[in-house]
Amino acid sequence: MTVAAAACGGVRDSAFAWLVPTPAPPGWATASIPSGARLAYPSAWRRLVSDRGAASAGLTAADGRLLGYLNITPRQGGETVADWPSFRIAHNAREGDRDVRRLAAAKGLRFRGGSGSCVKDSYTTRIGARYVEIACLVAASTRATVIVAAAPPAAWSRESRVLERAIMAFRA
Amino acid sequence: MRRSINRPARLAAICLVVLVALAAAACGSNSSSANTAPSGSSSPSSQSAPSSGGAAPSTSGSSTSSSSVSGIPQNNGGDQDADNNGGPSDGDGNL
Repeated sequence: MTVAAAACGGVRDSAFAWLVPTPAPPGWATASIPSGARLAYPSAWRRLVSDRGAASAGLTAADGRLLGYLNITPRQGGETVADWPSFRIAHNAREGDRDVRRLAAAKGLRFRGGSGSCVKDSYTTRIGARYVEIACLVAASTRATVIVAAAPPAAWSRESRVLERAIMAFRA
Repeated sequence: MRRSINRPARLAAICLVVLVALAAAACGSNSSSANTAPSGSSSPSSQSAPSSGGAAPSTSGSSTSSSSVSGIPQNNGGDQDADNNGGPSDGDGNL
């Protein structure tokens, strides 16, 4: 049994022990996308421009710097729940991000209305902005949606709890 | 004499190998499909920070089925990708 548990250790990572599907706190705003998935975010955050069919919200500093970022997007490529962590890491690198580091990953996670996989990683964009992100691919009965929660490393310790809370409240 | 002493140990070793093989097979069943690289190409020209606004997502261009994949135009071709502008990467699997 010990051998089996050790062999399966990469499937569920304790880094995602916080992920318990929970309705959004009172007062949070929501943004739905046409597929039916719903993003919840703090009322102090603002909706951001995003792709058609997707939704984003963010918290910005007075100087315009992004302090927190949330996005939900219907599955667009060939990604699957099974290959999601490696797909996302490779995808970020293909987009031109540098120094992409995988920090944690887990499969078989439960969400509101679905189940899926998550990866936590960090990367530097082409303009030199570094972000830590949690990106999850969540499969519901008739659709699959990606939720991304990101913040600069300097803001991560302050914003990660809100970002995690948004993932917990995400309706797939 | 020596042979009879080693037999239980050998049996235990075989059992251990079988257990490890079973464990590996059980874990492997999670991956049912191959990693497919997303299609599309891009060479973004804008490198500004992501802009913010109140734009609500359109009612078109989304997928409602897990088997269908909707392609959001990339490289700012009608798409407002933050990742194409140097901001945080959004959730689209295309470039």
